[in-house]
Amino acid sequence: MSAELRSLLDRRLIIISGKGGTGKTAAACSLAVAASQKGLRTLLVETAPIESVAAFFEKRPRALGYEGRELRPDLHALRIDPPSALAEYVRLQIGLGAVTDRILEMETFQQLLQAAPGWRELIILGKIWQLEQMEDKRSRPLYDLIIVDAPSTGHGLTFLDVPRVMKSAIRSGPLARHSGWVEELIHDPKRTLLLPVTLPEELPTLETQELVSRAQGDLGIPVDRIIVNRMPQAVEPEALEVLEALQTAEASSNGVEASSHGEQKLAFTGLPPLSEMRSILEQESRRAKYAQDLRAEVSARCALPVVEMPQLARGFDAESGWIDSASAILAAPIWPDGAESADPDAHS
Amino acid sequence: MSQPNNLQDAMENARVLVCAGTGGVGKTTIAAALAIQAARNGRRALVLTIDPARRLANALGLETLSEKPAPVVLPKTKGAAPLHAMMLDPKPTFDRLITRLTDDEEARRRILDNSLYQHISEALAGSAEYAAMEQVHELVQSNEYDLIVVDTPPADHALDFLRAPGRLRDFLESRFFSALVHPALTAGRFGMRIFARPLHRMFGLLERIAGGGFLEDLREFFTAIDGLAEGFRERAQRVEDVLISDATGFVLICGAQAGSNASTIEFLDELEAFRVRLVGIVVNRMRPWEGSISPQALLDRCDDAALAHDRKVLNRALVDAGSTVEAAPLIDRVLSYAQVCAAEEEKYRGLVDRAARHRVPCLPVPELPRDIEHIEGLFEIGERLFSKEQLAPRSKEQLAPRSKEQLAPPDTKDSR
Repeated sequence: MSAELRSLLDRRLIIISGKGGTGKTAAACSLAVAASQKGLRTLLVETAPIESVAAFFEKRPRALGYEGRELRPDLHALRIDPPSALAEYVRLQIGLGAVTDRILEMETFQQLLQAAPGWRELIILGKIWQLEQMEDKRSRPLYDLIIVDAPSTGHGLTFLDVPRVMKSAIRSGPLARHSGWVEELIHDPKRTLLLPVTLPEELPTLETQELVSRAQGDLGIPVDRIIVNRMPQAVEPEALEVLEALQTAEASSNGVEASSHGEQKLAFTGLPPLSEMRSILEQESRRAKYAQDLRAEVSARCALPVVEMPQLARGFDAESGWIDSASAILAAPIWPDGAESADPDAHS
Repeated sequence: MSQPNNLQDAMENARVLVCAGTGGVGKTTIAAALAIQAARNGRRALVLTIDPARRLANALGLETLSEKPAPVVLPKTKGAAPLHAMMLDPKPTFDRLITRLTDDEEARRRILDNSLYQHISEALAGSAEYAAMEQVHELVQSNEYDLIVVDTPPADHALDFLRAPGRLRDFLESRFFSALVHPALTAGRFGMRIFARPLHRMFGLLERIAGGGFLEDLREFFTAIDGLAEGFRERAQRVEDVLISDATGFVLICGAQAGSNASTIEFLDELEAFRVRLVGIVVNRMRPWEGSISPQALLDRCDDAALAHDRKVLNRALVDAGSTVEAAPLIDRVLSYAQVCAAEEEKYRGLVDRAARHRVPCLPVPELPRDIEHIEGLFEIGERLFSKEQLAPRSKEQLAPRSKEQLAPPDTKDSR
């Protein structure tokens, strides 16, 4: 099963989705860096109301804005803010500069936008569609790969369902036609992939299952793997055993003359005493085991293999060195339970 | 000494506690723990969640959470008031609202069957916020509960749900709405001809983009709800009134996970702008640090020379013990844990300072080893939040003095 999986880089549009706080932006940035390192002209699209991508790359982040800029070679990033995208769209459709602008600025129009649901999602997706269509001078696609850090509002897939809803609500006119184009892109398994990001925790696990089943069900959006972020590394059981043994030896020599083997308190100058080290490692071991259980659970529930992103001690800010581990996201997905789970039927 | 902005006080006197914060910080769990604590202290409490948290439901002794309040049994608790738990389902709430607002069966059907209504109330983003607030209002009105603890929908903007009622009201009062619904004074299709020119142009623009049929649908829908507009307006206002009244307290939940406090700070600024009452900041899932010195002090002590020495000592001990385990990875693991704890602590201290400025307590909740599977786990969180000395997740020496300050917010002459 996993052998047949296409590389993540073999798509045009990857929509990174998941519950808030799972690290969608970290995954989007990692994938964008990994793709650009492989020489793909990569576009990273932010959709959240507050920009956060630049802070992953720069100590003093400057705003990306609607036009965006190059964050690294071959990595262009921008933020689609709905009002700018709407203004651009309306100008393209109506073409009248000053008059159109005046309408867009009308208080009444602003009130309508404040109350109207769905247009933000639609216009963001419309802009993504347009970016996907863009070509360079030699008529090649301007971007090889577009990575979208999708909004986390509500259930992530509402965002992707808006074009369909709009098309059926509006029925005719250019907006309905364009919604149809956007819908087509989103559902095209050749070009588009939904990439869920989750954490080895309970609620994200459940929500991911819901997201995947909706995506593969009535929405019909391709999903082929799950990113499990912040996976703690396992602790070797032998390490815990030997620390315990050392600690016992320490305790038994306590107050007693050092034996001929010289067993006594280890004289650390920086590290905490063995007992504290052991308790830290035991905690870490429990965390790691629990995370493994949940990783297996999300994989089984969704009947999809997973890719792990490591837990980084210093997080994902500009100086934490995360770029070195960015390519982890391109690792081949695995079934966490080993070979016997490779059969997807075993999970249903 | 009055401390109006205090979680403890709100637990005893508020009617509504809103647990807000960005996604993934454990809002639902904290909301449940707060409701349980209130019930154990004798207040009839309800926890209203947004997430379909199955394990939380199980921990509460329920099969699942549904849109009907289900009674929760509190084991080993004397004198507790009844506790209920329910999950929000936005669609029935909206339908109920429409049903309540109109007596006319036909008008009701016209609205509920209108395709735009169905999209607005179900498929499109943003309606969950309004529905949540509607539900809270209804529950407050019912007077069946002394305290309603609300878990808010996940959103990029933590306060979207606060804006929802106002947005709806503004729209119903907008010229756009009245122009589309009340062209009665005019003749012709939509009476567009006599609209002020800009409005005319705007309808023209909408028609060109979305097609004429869309405007007609819109008008039909608006006309259908026009009769309800007054009721809507009133309710939106009343929902807003509940939110900004003294009977409602906001608890900001943040994750201890290292990372910036930017969204928290934005949230606090917004709360102030909305004039709602913040009663506490909860820093959830702080990793326990049991060291005798703070994680940062440990990291400072572990310079290259110290580590080179300690690595040798540990390696020798490991070899002597006949083990093949290497010292270096163990040491790295311990230090990276210390790094995580140090980063969390730095973040926490930033929040403590910030909370002090708002004159509210900043309460840490330690990470629990597993997800909560029994109600006792939730008891524990509640007890920790309100324990006398607010059990600090760090060693006593490091945080105990600060914890006392947190529990009793700095006493200033004017608290708001």
